[in-house]
Amino acid sequence: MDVTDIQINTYMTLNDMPFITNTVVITWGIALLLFALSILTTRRMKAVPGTLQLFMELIIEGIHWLVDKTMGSDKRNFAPYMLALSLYMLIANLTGLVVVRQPTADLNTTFALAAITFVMVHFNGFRMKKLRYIKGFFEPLPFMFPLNIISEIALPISLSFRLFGNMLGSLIIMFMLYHFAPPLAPIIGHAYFDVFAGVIQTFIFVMLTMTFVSLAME
Amino acid sequence: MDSIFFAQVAKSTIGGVVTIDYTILWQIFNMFIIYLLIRRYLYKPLVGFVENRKKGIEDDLKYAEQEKQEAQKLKEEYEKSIRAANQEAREILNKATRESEEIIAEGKRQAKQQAEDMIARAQEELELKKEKMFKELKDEVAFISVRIAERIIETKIDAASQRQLVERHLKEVKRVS
Repeated sequence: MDVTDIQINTYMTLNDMPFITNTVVITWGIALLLFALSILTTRRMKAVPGTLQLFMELIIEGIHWLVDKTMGSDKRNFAPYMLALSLYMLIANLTGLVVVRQPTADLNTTFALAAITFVMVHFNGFRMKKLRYIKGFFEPLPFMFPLNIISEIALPISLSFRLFGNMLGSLIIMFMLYHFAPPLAPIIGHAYFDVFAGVIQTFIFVMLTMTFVSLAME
Repeated sequence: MDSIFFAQVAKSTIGGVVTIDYTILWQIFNMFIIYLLIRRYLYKPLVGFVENRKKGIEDDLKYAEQEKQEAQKLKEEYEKSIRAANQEAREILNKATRESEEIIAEGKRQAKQQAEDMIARAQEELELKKEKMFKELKDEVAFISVRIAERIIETKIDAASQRQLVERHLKEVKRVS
């Protein structure tokens, strides 16, 4: 490991800006992994489920339960995205365990996800409430409009920086642990910073996305 | 040494990590692809499968419940018909008993009647015979008494007065009898 491993490796540039980095490549890998997992799960489904099918059924049931609890059972159509988001983010956060730089420790990834959430919030809010939704920005008093706008913009920024900060922090601390601590010590660090923080951050991100979207629709 | 290391870490972090570049577009695109893949190849088939299974189990349960109800109905019907058959058998038995009793009573009554008839006829016959006997006896008595009287008064009475006497006697006898 080298100090430069903290940085993002750029494989291809466009206009002197990184175009394809290791974040993007790892995301492709995760997409492939998820695709393979999906195929493996649904290839031979049985009425009495096998281990993998049972596991996936449990995850989907869990997502359905979360969506029903936080958004309402009439918004079940958000479940596929929430499932994709949590699976991707979970695997992305856990890649630190196999000494791969987490894609979520890249602001581009987290900001992309937060931007999708931002678009979902406002698109669905407008779709449900039409002009009443825009009027909502001038409430409770018209001059509050700039403040409302700032609070809306703060949403993706807080979402993305929370995840990014957590993952980058764990990356740096793990790097320093590898540098200074005795050989077996990083296990505790991995358990806390990668597994615990990774799962918690995934949960928080998905929960917040669901809450914001359903709030905007109500 | 350590301070140099920290400085390097700080430099690489600040200088090369907190940036936004073209890869954000890639990541949005990638997330979209992941969403489509998951929805098409994992969510829809699995949820469809689970729903089907759920529906199948529900149908099976409903079917079982239906069958159970039908069986219950059949059982009740059978029990009802058995009860009806029992009732009928009892009625038939009762009727037979009643009829046989009637027949016996009728037989007894007829026999009694016959016996009474026979007794009455016999009495009647007896009566007739008695009457006949009395009549014969009367004639005989009349005859004998005439003969006795004849013997007693043989010559003293002529034929005409004799007849008169006999007639009187006869009348007396008839009154007595």
